[in-house]
Amino acid sequence: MPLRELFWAGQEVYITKVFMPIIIGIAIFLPVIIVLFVLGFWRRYRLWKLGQPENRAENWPARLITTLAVALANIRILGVRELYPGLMHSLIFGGTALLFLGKIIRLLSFGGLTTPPQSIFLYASLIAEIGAVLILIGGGMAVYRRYVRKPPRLDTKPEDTLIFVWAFLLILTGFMVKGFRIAISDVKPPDWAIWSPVGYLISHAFPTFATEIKNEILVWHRTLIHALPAFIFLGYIWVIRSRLQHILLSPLNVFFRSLNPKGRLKSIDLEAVEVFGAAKIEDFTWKQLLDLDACTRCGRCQDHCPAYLTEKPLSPKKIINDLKDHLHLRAPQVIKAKARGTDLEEAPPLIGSVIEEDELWTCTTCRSCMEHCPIFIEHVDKMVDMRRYQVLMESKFPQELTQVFRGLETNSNPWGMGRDTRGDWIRKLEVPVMSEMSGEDIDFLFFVGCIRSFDDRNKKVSMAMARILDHLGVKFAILGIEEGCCGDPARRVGNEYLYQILVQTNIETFGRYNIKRILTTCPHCYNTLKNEYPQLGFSCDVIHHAEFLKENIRNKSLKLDHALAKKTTYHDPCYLGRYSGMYKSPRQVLSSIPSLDIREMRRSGIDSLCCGGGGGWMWMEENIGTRINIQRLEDALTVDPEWIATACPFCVTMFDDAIKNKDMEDKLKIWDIAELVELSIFGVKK
Amino acid sequence: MDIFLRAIAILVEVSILAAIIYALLRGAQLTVFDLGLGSKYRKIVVITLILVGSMAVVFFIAHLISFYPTI
Repeated sequence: MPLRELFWAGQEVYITKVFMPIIIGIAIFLPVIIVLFVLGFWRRYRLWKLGQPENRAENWPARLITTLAVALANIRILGVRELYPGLMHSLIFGGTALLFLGKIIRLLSFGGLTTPPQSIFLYASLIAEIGAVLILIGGGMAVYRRYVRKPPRLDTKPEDTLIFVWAFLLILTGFMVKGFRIAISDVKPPDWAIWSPVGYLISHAFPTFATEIKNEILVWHRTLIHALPAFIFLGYIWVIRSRLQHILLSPLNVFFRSLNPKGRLKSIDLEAVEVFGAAKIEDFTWKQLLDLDACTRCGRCQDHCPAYLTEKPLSPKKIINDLKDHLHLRAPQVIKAKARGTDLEEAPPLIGSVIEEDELWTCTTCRSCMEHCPIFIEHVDKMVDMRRYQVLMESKFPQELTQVFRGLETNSNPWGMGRDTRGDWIRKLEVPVMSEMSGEDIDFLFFVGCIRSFDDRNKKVSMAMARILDHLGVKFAILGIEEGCCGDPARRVGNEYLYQILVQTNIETFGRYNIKRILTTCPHCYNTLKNEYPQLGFSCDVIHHAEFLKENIRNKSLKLDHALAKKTTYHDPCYLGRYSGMYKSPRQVLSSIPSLDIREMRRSGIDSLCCGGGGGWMWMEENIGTRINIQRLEDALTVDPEWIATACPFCVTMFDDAIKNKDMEDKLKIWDIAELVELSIFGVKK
Repeated sequence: MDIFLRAIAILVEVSILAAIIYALLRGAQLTVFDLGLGSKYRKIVVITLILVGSMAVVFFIAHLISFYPTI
């Protein structure tokens, strides 16, 4: 008789006796688990329903593809920088999938559902054992990381520890059932060793009874000791709000992620809404509440937050979990009051009771938290919503912003510098201005932006860009005094009202000149013009100068003849990199410059640290912790550069300040890529 | 020697059973409070669960000593 059948025959005595009770158990417990699952889901769902409506149902195929990629292939979890936790998660996930696959096959193979059942039973046995071993390896890695290495980003709750203990016991008792069955069977060893290696290994440890009936009873007891806690575990994880519910919540959150451009904040219809922004937890949308519930506290967001890394009170993980705890406390009261039709006791405002003002205002909106979140939690949007309430409803904001708002209102720039001086930087150049052109067609409008127009250091970048454009012979023009702030500074600090006024003014100007294409050297202007202006009815082709320069170098319109033999590192601006996905273009521009020795910082690309100028911080005093621009300069210094290159006026200013702060003006210079291109074309800055 | 090995085997089995009982009862404790039971009941719940757990462990010790296979 072939060994496989022997294996099966050896099992048969017990399988009929062991499997039948298990199947009966499943028939009883499965409906209970399903009911508990529905109950657990309903507990969550009724919380999300408290949120404001938001349409996240469009483009199901795209949503489904990403969900499968994240949930099944773990694409956002596995990464070079996150290799240990990524591998750990994949082992546990893959192991669980194999274990369940093995169990299901074994159940279906019973009773002749598969013919013949023998082989598939063997495969299932092996698959389940491999799965269990993978879980043990992944789980061991998780335990080592959480309880021995203890990275600051992880916090451990009693339920987390319980899951480790419980899951380990389930696997251990599972192996014990198998091991004991092997110990009491009379099948020759080699077959067991192949198809059930771990069970076979531990089978040697079990004492057995001399009589078969007693062994059968003990098998049944051991099965009960394994199966009953397993069923209870499956019920437990759905009833309690355990982190294991991420099995469901994470894919759900990924599925309902925003498909809008990354830099587009939610617009407010100022005439239709009574309350602007989020004052209480119910003011968030249902998706924002789902975000809170879906957070697994992995802490990746915290590890990459520039505010957290420079000792500020903000941690994106803490924000999300403080809001989650508040949701779980507040929601039952809201639900009860709604059900009874009674008035609800007014909740204390989120800011001050749940989130501290310093936490709210230290966010630079750099998007690092969102880019590193494996399940697409939208941190920045919530911060801006809470800022909107503070600014528009409460008039509570850092005092420096008063000047910013006033400057934007009166002169359409954050410093409040005379609007008539916006075009002063062109005095030495012959830069065409739209109002002075007599209906000539232009290739594009050069939208200069506030910082590039008013800040002395950044004016040089505007001049460099204008010279390059002139050198290329393209037809362009600027708006001069007709240009207004794009609105980004107002929007990011929560002043949606002012933002919309600024945008509408610009849109009117664009309309007057029938603008079809815009070139800008500012990633903030780029994002706002490209991604946010369409919300208020204006769309056109917007190009960032990194892209523009790259194209013109590639098609040889720009010839970079002069060598710049300098050690240079490139800093990725947040709004160009993480917001607009432009990591390669500026690097391609730099690598086209002869002899430029380019060195990458450890934190670059998607991991790049913010310069500290976003989210209104360009105009606010950074008094808590290390200044972010100093921290970023420290990052740069690790690669021993002579030059730092970037492609954003905010970054130029912040680095310039940091270099001066460190008295390094003689050794280190900050350049915009346009200036380096200009240098390489003309040999010297004109 | 056999008695000694049997005692060790029983000890291992009891430890595993005790850990399972701990997991089940700890799960029960976390569940009742997650479902909204007030924290003023924490002490009585913990005492009850410790008693239930202890009784179960005592039962398993007695059961295993009486019925565990001889080595």
